[in-house]
Amino acid sequence: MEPSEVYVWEMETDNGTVIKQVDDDGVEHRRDEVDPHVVVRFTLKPRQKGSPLPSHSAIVDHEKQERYVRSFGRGFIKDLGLAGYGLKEYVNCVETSFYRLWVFSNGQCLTTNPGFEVYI
Amino acid sequence: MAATVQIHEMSATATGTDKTAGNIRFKAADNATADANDRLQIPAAASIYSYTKYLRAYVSSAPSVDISNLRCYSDGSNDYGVGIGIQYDLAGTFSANINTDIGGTDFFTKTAGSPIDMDAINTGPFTSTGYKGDLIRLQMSVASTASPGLTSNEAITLAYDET
Repeated sequence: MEPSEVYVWEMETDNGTVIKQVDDDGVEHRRDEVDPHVVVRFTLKPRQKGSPLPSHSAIVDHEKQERYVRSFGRGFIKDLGLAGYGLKEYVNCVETSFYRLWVFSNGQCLTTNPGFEVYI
Repeated sequence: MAATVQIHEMSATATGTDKTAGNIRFKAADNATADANDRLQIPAAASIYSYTKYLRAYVSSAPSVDISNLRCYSDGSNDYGVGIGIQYDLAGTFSANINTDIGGTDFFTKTAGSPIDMDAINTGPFTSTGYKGDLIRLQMSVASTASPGLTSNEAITLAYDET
């Protein structure tokens, strides 16, 4: 599985609606379909059921004036040896007004301040 | 589905060669073939220069929303040996490769901590397939102080953000 396919996202809004990247009918949704102002939870889950990888959630505390800002994936194309250049790593990032949570394709994560950039 | 992004090398024309299944070799000829032909010869004095190599990001399957923030960097360590270096500059469009000094910046000064902005000229975000962002032009220099023989491989990384 490509590193970019390991995790899928899920967002919950302040009225309890849950929007999944891939819904139960297999339809794929775009992140920009969700109004960022109403997001109270952003979760990254392993795409494969039964995967030993952990899920990661960012809980957005509106009462403390925290806001969901955006989420994105960062791809790293590197020399893979005999296979040539390809996608070596894909790090998912969710950014709130308080922090960034970076999740690597092996399940490890890193929390930084919102302005910090991760390049590997 | 996530986008698929490749590194392409442009030689002779702006139509590049996908480097997904290959690597890049600096040589004394303007082609993208990674072979042992057209070797760079150590000069008796001063330096000689390889043909330039244009590299550019190619989006072969489109992102869900867009791609932005293209960056490129080295591992920060020149392991080619004494007298051998890589310099670079950026361009918005392809022009013919040359084997004279481009007067560029030392590529090995650009690391994960200070990557090269690859969408400074052709700015994103990018929503479709095709060549995106800027072209990085790389060139190897070989000085008279270099040692003969094959050099070790060096790493180049292309990073991008996808939403």
